[in-house]
Amino acid sequence: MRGPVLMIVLIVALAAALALSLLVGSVPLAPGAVWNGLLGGGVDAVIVRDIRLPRTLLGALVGASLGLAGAALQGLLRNPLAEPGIIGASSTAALGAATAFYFGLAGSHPLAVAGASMAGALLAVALVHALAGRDASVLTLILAGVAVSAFAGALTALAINLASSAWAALEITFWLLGSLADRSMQHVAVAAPPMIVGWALLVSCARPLDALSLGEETARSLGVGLGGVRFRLVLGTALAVGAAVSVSGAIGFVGLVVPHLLRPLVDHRPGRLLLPSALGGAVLVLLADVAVRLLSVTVEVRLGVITALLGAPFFLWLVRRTRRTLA
Amino acid sequence: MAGSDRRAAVTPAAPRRRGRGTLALAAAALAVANAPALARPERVVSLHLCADQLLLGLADRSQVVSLSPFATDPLRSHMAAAAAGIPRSRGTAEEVLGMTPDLVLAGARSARSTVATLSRLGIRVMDLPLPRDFAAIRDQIRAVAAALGHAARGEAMIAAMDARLAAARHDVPRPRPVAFIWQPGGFTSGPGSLEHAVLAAAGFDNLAARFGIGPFGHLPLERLVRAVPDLVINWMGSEPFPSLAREGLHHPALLKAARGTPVLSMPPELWTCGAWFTAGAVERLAAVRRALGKRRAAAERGRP
Amino acid sequence: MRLVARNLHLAFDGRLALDGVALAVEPGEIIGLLGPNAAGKTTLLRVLAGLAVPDAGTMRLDGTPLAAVSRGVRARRIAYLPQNATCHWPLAVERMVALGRIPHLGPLAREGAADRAAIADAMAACEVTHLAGRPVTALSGGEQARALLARALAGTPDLLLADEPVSHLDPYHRLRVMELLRAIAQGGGAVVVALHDLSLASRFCDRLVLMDRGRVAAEGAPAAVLTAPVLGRVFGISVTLLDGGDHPVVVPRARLDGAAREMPS
Repeated sequence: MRGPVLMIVLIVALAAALALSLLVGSVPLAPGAVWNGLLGGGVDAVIVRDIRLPRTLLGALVGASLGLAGAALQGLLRNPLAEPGIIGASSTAALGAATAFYFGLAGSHPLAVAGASMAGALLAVALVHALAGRDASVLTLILAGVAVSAFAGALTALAINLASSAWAALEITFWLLGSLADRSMQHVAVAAPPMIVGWALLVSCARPLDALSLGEETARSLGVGLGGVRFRLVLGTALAVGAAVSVSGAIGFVGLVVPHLLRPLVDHRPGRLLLPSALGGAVLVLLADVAVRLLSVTVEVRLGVITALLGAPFFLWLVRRTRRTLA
Repeated sequence: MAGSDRRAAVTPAAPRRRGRGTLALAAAALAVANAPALARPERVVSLHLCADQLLLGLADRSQVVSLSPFATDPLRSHMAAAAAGIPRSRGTAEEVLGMTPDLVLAGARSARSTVATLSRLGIRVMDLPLPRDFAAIRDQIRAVAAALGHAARGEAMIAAMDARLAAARHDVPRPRPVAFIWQPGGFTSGPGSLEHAVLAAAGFDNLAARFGIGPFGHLPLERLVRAVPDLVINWMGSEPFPSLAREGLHHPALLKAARGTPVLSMPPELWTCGAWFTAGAVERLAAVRRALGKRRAAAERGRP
Repeated sequence: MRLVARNLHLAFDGRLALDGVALAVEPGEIIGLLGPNAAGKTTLLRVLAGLAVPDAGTMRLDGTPLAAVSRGVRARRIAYLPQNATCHWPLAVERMVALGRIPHLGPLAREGAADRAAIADAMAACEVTHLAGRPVTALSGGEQARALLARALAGTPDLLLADEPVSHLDPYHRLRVMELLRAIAQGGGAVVVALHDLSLASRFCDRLVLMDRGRVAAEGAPAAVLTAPVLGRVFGISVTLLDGGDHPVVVPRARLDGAAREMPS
């Protein structure tokens, strides 16, 4: 598929998903009322502008961050099974955020929770890259990620227990399963700037990722400074994923599924995969969040559960296919 | 004190030649009268916060052997001050056995396995479910008072509570104002819950009832923003530690839509357990209702 | 362009991978790099490509110290084709060859007419034009080797460093790739190629450099380097030398035991 055509299709899909997200909610609103509300008029302006709009914006921002980071990680590690969730970045980000939040650091600075979340993501990405970076096998990569994820998840639950919030159980599920419910524009304002910086860092790695298709030695001989690329990519992932997790909790599989589906459409070129993955990730998370709102009758079905229900079977299918090619 | 009474009743007075038979008969009669009315327990253990309250409120201090870990938490335990100095235990069967109680009070959320073990070992365990309305509160006070051997105190407690409730509802307006109980995550207490009974007793309608929500349910923020109540009650009071739970009440949408709506922070210790002091929650709500009524009346007078 | 390396030393894992190696590369010539496994061929190529930094020694590109040459300029002038080169994603051949143009593209620039021409020329020279749209990973061994070579040529380098580009190919494709390398040299470029096949090196290379344990054991025209005593000393084999016209053909005969091998000087 030619590049511009794919981008146009994805942009149209994103616009549709944004509109759908604004139209769905627990109070039935006609499209006209939603439009009116967006512009600030009418009784329902509060619902549209202060409840649905931030939720929609965050869904797109979080999805774009996860999709973009997933595509970038797959390019760097030259492995189609890499993504922030699988390598444990989402879990460590949640740990950082929860620790900062429950031990009182949230008050010291508006970006404190997001900052701790980013530090957590940085730790995971750097750790897994160090463990599995140099052409390591698929198995090493996944095992390293599983270990980091499990450990971070356990520490998160412990942190919340120790902090003795009376709502510990409820809040642990927020951090570990993800949710966009009842977020506000304040969350958008906190998360968006680091995300955008992260995106810029990741997109700047497009051409080096193309060169990396030929292996590290050849890429270096083509003039690519690998140390700089790794740094930008790891930092960009930490910023984008960390900021996303700090407002939505851990959401997995988006960065795995989206690049995988789009890769054939960009002729398998890692650099060309980045922007479409961002758009695709935004669409996926928005649609999953709409599903959350439609399915949550008595209790909220968590966003992470929906993405896992989509992603886990996909992942299993991927593993089978990879095994067949490796065998 | 109870024990010495019993001994006094049983030990006959110094026998006199002429009245010995009468005195003996009288002593026997007294013994018979006291013995079947379950002799007042001397060693009572409470495993649950709500049982703590009733125990502290009805029993003599010497009857109390141990309380639950939350007994001294002023946020949740109404009788926290009275609980000072009394040992608390985590309530495992081992610990309880070591205290050799003659009565154990357990609550609805006490570990079922612990309760079952104690019963199996022949210890008298009294299970106190969470009362869901004031009738249930009265029944429970009576039952516990009887078990503790202080039936009269129980009646006095009930009478005082009823007097407070009567004072709270004597001027309920029509239509009744609407309140919403906000719990973290947008959850609320609807009909069938103790909180609902408190609202009703204070003269409020419950917003949850309008949306068909049961004793415990979720009201989406969008619906709440649409149907702004006259009063929002912060169910968790002023919890001192940070949590996601607190953030919800400060959601910009809620702040905007409910700009003029007062928020009452209800101390959890008044209605976490349903007991005589829950009347205090009713009184607070009634006071707010009256203040709202005055404000509304003043606003209407101000209009031309 | 002239590349002159002098007295290169590189220690690696406790041993000397390069021990005082000197090499001069002139335009228009193919230099064959020979030697047993772990002789230092790959290390030397990596050092010349700028991928490994020697502990001591100098390298000058047209008189300028190589260290002073920017990474971008070096990438434009020197192309490196590593051993067992692969492509990790199933890119179309044309896309993969186009990656060779990266040193010539600005950070945000798209491919221009000059780039497209270079890509087309490289693919034509390596005879892979008809494979342009096929995924690299679906090609046969010979086709892949030519496609990867086309990638290296697409960058229009002055110097091509190739590490055993034909080891896994059948005789037909070995000849084909070596003919391509010769054509590059005849076109004015310079080629340094590491090979295991002594006869192939003898036939196609202008000069041979025979390495042994990090040192240059012999250097010069094929007839001067490929002699029985030298080969016996370096490879530990006895050989039969045949006359291939203008170059010797080497036929390995038997392995030599420790006594028959001369001690290295």
